[in-house]
Amino acid sequence: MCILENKLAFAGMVIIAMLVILALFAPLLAPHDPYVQSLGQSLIGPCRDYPFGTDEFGRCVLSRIIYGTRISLVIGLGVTTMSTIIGVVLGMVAGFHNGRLDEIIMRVVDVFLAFPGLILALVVAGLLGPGTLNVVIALTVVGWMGYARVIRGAVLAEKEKEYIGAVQTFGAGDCYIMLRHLLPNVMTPIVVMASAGVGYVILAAAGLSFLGLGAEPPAPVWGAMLNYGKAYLQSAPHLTIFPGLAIMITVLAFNFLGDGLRDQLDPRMKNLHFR
Amino acid sequence: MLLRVEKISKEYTSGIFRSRRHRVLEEVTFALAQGETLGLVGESGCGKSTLARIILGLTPPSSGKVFLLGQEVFSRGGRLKKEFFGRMQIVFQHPESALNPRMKVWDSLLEPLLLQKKNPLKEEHINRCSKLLRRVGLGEEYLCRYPHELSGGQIQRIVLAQVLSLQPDLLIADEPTSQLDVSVQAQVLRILKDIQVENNIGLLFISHDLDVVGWISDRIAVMLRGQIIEHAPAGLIRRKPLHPYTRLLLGNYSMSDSKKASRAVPRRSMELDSGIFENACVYFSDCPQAQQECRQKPWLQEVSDGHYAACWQAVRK
Repeated sequence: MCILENKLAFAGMVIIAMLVILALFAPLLAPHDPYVQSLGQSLIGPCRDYPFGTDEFGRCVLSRIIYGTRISLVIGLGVTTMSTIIGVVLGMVAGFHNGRLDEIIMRVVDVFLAFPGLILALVVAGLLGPGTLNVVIALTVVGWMGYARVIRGAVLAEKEKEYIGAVQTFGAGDCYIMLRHLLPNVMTPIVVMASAGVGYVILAAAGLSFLGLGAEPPAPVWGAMLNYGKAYLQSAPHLTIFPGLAIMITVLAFNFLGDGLRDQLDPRMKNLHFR
Repeated sequence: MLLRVEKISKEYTSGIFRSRRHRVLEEVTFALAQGETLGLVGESGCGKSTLARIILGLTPPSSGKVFLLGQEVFSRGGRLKKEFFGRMQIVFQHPESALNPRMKVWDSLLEPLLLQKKNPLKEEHINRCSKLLRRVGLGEEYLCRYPHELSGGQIQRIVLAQVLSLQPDLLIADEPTSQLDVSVQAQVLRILKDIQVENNIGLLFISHDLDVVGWISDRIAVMLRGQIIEHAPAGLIRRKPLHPYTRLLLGNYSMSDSKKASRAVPRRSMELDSGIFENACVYFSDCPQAQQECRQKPWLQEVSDGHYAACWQAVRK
């Protein structure tokens, strides 16, 4: 079964592709400059000129959402990439050299997991100050443990297989075995975790910027837009509805993709196909 | 002597507060000549596979030494010395995990040469590999497939070719055919035997199947709970088994007198694990002929020419 036959996963991929295009060509696609204020036109509801209306400074909400795609995707992909790298490296080392090193790494993981995730991220982001890079760091700090655990478990199972023993008798070193044999065979759960994880990270980033810990104020960030819009929830609901929808659609798209990949990469599903 | 295994012991400790020791191998000693086949027989869990892994350097022993052609193979830390990589090879039990599932057969086949820093694309190596493939009865059409597209027998033959490409001195076969159909078993065993004779390789053949071991081996060693209890030429041990446990194995083999035999089937008794019989014969708690003297552990003694047994009564006769 091709992943394109899975309707939800396909929808997720289409939406993600559209988001990427939006982010790449934001200056061409946005109808207005997201930073230009015109106080005379503040808080207009959706109309022909401003499809999603304007905010309290008269800036185009649609343009700001389009530009916001960039920051959301950068944070989502950046955090996931960094978490995956850290998690895979530590998880592989822990699983392969089980013993004291394994104990140390896994207890560190336990310590990090013992903190409530978003609160730890809040602390880290608060300490580092505002800025997109700092949000990426804060969310990576709370996000890598899951990957390390999953990888370690998979490596523990995989390294007991007989072909690993055989390769060792051929004279292979530890690094060679980890990179050439173990890594390709434990990547499946990580791909699934990471694709769904992007959605979670975007959600967490929105939460952080809603609380004021994100990119500096004029920057168009979905979570911050929700925050500023909440003062006008009664009079101008479009200020919160549209950024909220953007977050929801993006997160859903990544979750659909993750689910689809899981079905696709699960070896049992593969076998069904062969029989 | 090609391979000499001297007093290999292996213990595992478990538990944090009250650490308990589990003795898996106890002073296992044997030797193997070039071109000779030694069959190692024993019930599952008796330490056969652990012994194989120790000889190959995959698991460090608790104590003891292994010599290949007179040279010790382990460094201080219990790891295999570099110069012995590739000289001792193994064929494992489970064909489904014997090859990396994400590598094509061709890549797996060339991997040992690559790891030994030999350019596998050299003509001599390619010729050798294709000759080996033909030798194990496979065509080149299998090379571009993935392991899950091959049958168990085909994979075991690929593994044989892979292992032989390094021209090892010693080959360990750890129940290589126990997961295969009977018809395929015979085929793989015949190839294994032929190749061994052709290349004058020492073969350590591990199995629980006396039928198979009797056919392929020159000598047979019987293992019970981590110890070799009887050791003799293949014909002799089948004609005249000395140890009661060997007699039990052979009895099962001929399927006669199964009622009496089932009474003597070894079971891991509580007393054994609790260490009451720490110094007794390993078979003491299950032996139908156990005597008072069996509370002292017997050692492997030569009873008649080339026939060793660890049993007081066998020695006295």
